[in-house]
Amino acid sequence: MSHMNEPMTGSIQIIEEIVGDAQKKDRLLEMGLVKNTEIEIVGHLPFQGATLIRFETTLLALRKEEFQCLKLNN
Amino acid sequence: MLEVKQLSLALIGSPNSGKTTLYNWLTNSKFKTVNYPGATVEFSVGALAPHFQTAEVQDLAVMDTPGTYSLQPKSADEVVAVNSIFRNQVLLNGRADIALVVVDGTQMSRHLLLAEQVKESGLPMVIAVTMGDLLQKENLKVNIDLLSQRYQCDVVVVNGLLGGGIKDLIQAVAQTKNRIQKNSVVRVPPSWTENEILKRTQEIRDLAHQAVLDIETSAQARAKRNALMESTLKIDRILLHPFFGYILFFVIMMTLFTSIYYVAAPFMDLIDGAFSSLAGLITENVPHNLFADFLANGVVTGLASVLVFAPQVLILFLGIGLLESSGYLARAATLIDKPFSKIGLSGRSFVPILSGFACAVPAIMATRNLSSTRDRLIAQFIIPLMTCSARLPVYALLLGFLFADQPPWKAGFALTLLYFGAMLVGATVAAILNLLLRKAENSFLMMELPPYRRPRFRVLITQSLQRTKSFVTRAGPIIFVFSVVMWALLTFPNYQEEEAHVKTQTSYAASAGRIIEPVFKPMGLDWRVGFGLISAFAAREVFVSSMAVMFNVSDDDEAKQSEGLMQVMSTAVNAEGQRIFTPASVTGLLVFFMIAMQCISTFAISRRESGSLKFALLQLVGFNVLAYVLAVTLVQGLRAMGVS
Repeated sequence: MSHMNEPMTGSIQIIEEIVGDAQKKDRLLEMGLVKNTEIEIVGHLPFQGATLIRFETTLLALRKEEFQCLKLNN
Repeated sequence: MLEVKQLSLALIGSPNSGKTTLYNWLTNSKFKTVNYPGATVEFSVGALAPHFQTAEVQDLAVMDTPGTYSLQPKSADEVVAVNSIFRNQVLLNGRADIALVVVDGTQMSRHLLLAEQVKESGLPMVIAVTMGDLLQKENLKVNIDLLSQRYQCDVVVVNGLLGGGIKDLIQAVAQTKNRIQKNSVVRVPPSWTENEILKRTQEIRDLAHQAVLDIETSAQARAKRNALMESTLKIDRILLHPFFGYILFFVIMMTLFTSIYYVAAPFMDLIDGAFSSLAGLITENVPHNLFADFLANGVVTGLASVLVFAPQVLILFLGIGLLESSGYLARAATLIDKPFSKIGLSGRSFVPILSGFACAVPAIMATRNLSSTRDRLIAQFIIPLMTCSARLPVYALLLGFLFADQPPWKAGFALTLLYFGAMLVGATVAAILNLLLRKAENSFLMMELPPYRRPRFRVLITQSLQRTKSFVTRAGPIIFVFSVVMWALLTFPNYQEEEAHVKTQTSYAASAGRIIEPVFKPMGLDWRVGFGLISAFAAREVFVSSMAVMFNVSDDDEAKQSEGLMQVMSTAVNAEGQRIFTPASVTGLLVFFMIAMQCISTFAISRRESGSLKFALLQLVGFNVLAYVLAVTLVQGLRAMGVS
């Protein structure tokens, strides 16, 4: 299931910037989601649920508000 | 309190780094779990396994800590991870002496960030690169020298599956121990700026790409290398499917739940039977006096009420361990996260809450896995509302009475309503708590979904047994004491009376029942049912046997006892000659049992796990008052509508 503002499943995106509150931002950075990281959108769970992304050898599920901290540029 | 009198080696690593598997190898799975002061999150301490001890490392304590991504903690378990290493009064020097940084060899570009922080802390360290078996399978080799140079420490690749590399690791620890400088400064490193994290992450990525070398560069080898990730993605296409994912989630969770209930049942019966026989032996062979009664019905019954839960606890921990080590638990939490977030819970709370349908005792213990204190408190609070297995004998009796001579589907439908009613009340209470509790910490999902792997059953069984032992030794004494108190209330003051029926009718508990009879009157009940409700605090199912004692129905066969009781209930009248058990009063009783927190064991566990007597008392008083108010409202409402 894909929503209007969500990147398409299977698309490759580049992280341009990490935005949002300090704690979320720090945690995303510590998990390796830093500027210029290439991520693949693996899928979206229904009812505005988690977004699944893949980067390097990692699979990660992010809540909508966590995913929105990633400013993407494809 | 545990005191460690030797040098300590602390394992530190990100979640899913293979830290606990390594810990089990190092300690041969023999360790003690310790609650960090003021927190319910645990760390474990064990001695280095004898077969790994050498002349240089004979006396070494090994400590496992909760997984953390950083030394700048962001959740309760991460705070404990950092504190147990740097500020730990249990340890000889008030902190760990050597850090064993556990890095997943397949996730090196992320996990080395923690190694950077440990290096900066000044703590002597050794790096263990885990998943050696997977690296080998994928034809990859770790450039140990490169890592060793960067971190100025020994680096060892270990194979968690077969235990390869552990002896080299011990050797590296011994060398590091010899290099420890007294009075060196060790401290939690300051947090990094965004630019610093960015710089370090980039450096680590470059380092990781250089440190993991291809042994074979053929196309076939490259394809094999991605096989694990590709097979994981394939499985996820089914298990995380927007529709089928939820159906499979439901099936898997129902299997876990029914296993807790059904697989444990024969073992619970066995324990129950063994203790009943023991109590019988004491009654037959020890002269009839107060001491014999205390032994048989106080001590033995008290011990039984502790150990009877052990099979459920073991199966729950085995089930959760199996889901966790296979990689599915992270997916389950991801799937349910959104619906749960509506009532202030995260997806991680699902398994403990589901387990509450079997038994609240292990379910409350399972909340330890929740990293957010807020999530943990809300989950712990609502778990006693879930319809545990102990409510079923009571429901069976009351629904059997209410729907006697009617098609069975009616009783089945009423039972379903009771289950859904409990869930609705639970969700409402959680939503209220969500509004009331201050959001002191950020609740994260940011769930790493590890590749699917075959669980290591030896580790799984050892860990589950260890946790079950921890339950018996720590929760046991509290449950035991409460059970003995219940025995005393049911025995005194007329302890010399031979007739059990007369003795209980004249006991302090029965007197309490009479005193509080006016309280139960609005529910349409008399003091005998009130006594039954009080005795149910020992365990809910005790209500049925207490009612049998109070209404003088005696039959050893449980089914016949229920049948006889239902007959007596249909004619039982109170002092005013009015019928006690009417459709209205029995419906009120059902609603009361649906909500009331009548289990002393749950109270004891809740008090221990929340670390707060007030919290447990709030549950006890709050749920019982709510149950009472709703039951009275329902009974009076039904009567007003002409239903007697």
